[in-house]
Amino acid sequence: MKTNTSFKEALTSINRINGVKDSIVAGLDGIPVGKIDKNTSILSASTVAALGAVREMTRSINYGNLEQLMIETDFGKIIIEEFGKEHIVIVLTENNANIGMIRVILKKAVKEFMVKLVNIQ
Amino acid sequence: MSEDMLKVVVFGALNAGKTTFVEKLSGQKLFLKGEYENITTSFDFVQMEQGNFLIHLFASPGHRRFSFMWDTLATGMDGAILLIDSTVGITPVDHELIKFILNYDVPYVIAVNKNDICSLEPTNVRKELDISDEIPVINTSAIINQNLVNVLDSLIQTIAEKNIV
Repeated sequence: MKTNTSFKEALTSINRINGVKDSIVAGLDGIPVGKIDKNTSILSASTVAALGAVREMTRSINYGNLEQLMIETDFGKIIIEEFGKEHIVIVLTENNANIGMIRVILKKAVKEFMVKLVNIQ
Repeated sequence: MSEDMLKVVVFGALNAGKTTFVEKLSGQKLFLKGEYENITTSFDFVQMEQGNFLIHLFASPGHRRFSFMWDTLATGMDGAILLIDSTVGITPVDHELIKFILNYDVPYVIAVNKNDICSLEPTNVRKELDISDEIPVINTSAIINQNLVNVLDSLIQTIAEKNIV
């Protein structure tokens, strides 16, 4: 049985980056952490499934451990990063976003998430 | 919206009726329907409220080729439903799926589906799968929405008893 916890504060730093449309945290069970609505549920479930499929792909061809997944569409990029053992962060960006900057800030935010997770547990 | 959430995953062999099961049970259009030519290649997903819980309901792919998705979908699940195709009977995939679910140590219910076409005795299913009397085995027909809510309610009850809600 799951109890919802919010990572709202930690996500604020990511959402402030120029070019970031939105970001959410999800559990590896495919369920969003924090705000739950149809869109975040779909995004969480499908992202975790995609992550699982790509991880299986890199494993089956012996191509190392999956560190980050980036999806490119004509709307922009979706960056997915796993952190800890149970969570992922999903960042939706504009087409013209500074991906390098986002990745740096994402790494910093992941550290904040980890601290928060430790405090929760 | 309910505060407590449950993740429930429907497993079953190819063409057991998993997608129809989650469609009829939820009574709504699926949020995600990962199919290609009527075969689920990724997964199905929908949310529904039942018994004061918000249920995150997933259906796995049945094709052996996509079985690598099983672990991904099973991560964090609170309970499982194993769908058996009564027109085919117990298959090696069903045996494999029982072992798979048991490894996750979560409550599960067996739905013997397509009861509108062919009926399998729950006693025989229990015997052939070598499962205890505590595991509910329920005849269902996803297509005519027979006993689907009973399956989910049984599972919720089992989960609740395990967690002492």
